[in-house]
Amino acid sequence: MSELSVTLAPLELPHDPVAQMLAPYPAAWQAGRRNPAAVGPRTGFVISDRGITLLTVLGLLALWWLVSALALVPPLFLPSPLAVLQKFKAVALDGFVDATLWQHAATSVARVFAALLLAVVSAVPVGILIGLNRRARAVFDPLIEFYRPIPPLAYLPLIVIWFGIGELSKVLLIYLAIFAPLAIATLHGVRRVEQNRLRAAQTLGATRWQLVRHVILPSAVPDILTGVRIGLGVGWSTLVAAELIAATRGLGFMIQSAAQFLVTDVVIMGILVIALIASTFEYGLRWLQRKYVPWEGRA
Amino acid sequence: MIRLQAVSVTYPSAARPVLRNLSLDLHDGRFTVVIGASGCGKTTLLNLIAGFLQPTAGSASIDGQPITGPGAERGVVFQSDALLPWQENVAFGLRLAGQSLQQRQAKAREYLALTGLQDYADAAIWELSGGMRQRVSLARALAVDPRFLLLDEPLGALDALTREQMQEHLLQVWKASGKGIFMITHSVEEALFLATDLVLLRARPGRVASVRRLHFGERFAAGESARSIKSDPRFVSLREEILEQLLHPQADEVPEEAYS
Repeated sequence: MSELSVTLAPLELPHDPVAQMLAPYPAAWQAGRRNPAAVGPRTGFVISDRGITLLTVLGLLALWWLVSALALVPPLFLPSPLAVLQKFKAVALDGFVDATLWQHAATSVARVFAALLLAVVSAVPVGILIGLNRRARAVFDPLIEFYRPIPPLAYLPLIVIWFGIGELSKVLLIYLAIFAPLAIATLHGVRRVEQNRLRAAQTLGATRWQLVRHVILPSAVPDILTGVRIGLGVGWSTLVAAELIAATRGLGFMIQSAAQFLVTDVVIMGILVIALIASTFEYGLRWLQRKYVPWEGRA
Repeated sequence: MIRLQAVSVTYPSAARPVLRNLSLDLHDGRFTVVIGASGCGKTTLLNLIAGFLQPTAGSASIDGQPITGPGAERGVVFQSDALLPWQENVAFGLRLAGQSLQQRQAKAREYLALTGLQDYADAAIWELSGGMRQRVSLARALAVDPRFLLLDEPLGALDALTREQMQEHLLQVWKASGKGIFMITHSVEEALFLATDLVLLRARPGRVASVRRLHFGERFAAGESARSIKSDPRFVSLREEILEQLLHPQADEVPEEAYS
């Protein structure tokens, strides 16, 4: 089972609950599941999970190319992959709406990460506090649950009225979107702490602060990292909304402007760039999770 | 000396007490083993002594001072090892006490050697077997030099062979450290082999049925082999007697109504 949880295919979560469920059963039950030890010498046509992922992406690209090559859809609605690639080159070198692709991307990444940084330094302590203290929970829980389901676009006008149209409003909007899932994930992690670990630390003489520092916080790290992953996801989706506010730069702004002039290839290119950046960070975070939380699911 | 005086524990949601009017003394340097049917409040008793729980009535004290919470003079080893996978374990208590890395490493080596784990100092805990993890847990509790060690079925999850080795190991550690040990077990043979004071608990509500003074563990510590002790006719007859008492509690006890 341990080797199953170590060798992770790209599209799988660190936890593979099905593999864990199947693990005690004979290898035959796990037919079709990744289990190099049970398969024995490989015969015939074998394809790895990474290969399947790659084939899926290539298949979609081929379908896209086919649809545009056969002119089934006018290029105004669906430009060909090649046109998008050329646009990528053009915007990267010459820019679009007064900034190059890199400037747009850097601005957006800076906004998302400023918001994420603020969220980590505030939501994690709040999550720990409400996980440990019932009164703090009574204060924060209704607040978080009240604003969490509201779409950021709904309170965007209010933020503009209060904080103007500067960088602050944009970062604040993304920050608010990240805060709730991160605080809730941290709370969940804190509540998952094994009571015996807390008690063991207490009998070794731990003070209340030492319990938080040495037992509770490390126990919550896997959940906090999951919270960061979820938070980054909503952060990117809120970015476009944030860049509706009098922005002059940013990927969301670039897509918005392109859409207004029906420059569909820039729209698609912008979407792909956001997807690329977001998934790069997602895989980076998974890597961090494996590297720094190697005990997850094992101890 | 830890003294429980007429303690009763009733959980808020339960109608009947888990422990009622229980008195027990734990002496320094002695090996007190508690045995009893499941549900007789053994773990509740340990939680009281450790300070995780306050008695509903009666008092728990150490040297006359009431026990108000967990403390470093009462180390606990849990049935699940409760190790921390993200950091040093054996020296954890020393780190909490603010000792330097060098002091901690020296102490950690000393206690790993005492528990026979010197070759595993740098192993990740998920690479260790159940018996080794339990020994790490024991070394961690010993490293802060507590007066008493409280063991909650520490060998319950181990296979039979490892279990016997760990029993001998516990006696060696007890002999070498001179600490007062309080241990809970389900195994009559284990209890007889280890205990200097064997406490038999009766269930519903939990109360002391008998306390016996034994010397089998001391004989092992003095050099006699475990096999020879466990096949001693007195050991065998005592084992049968206690098993009989556990399986068929006789009416020679005070009937439950007498308490209410």
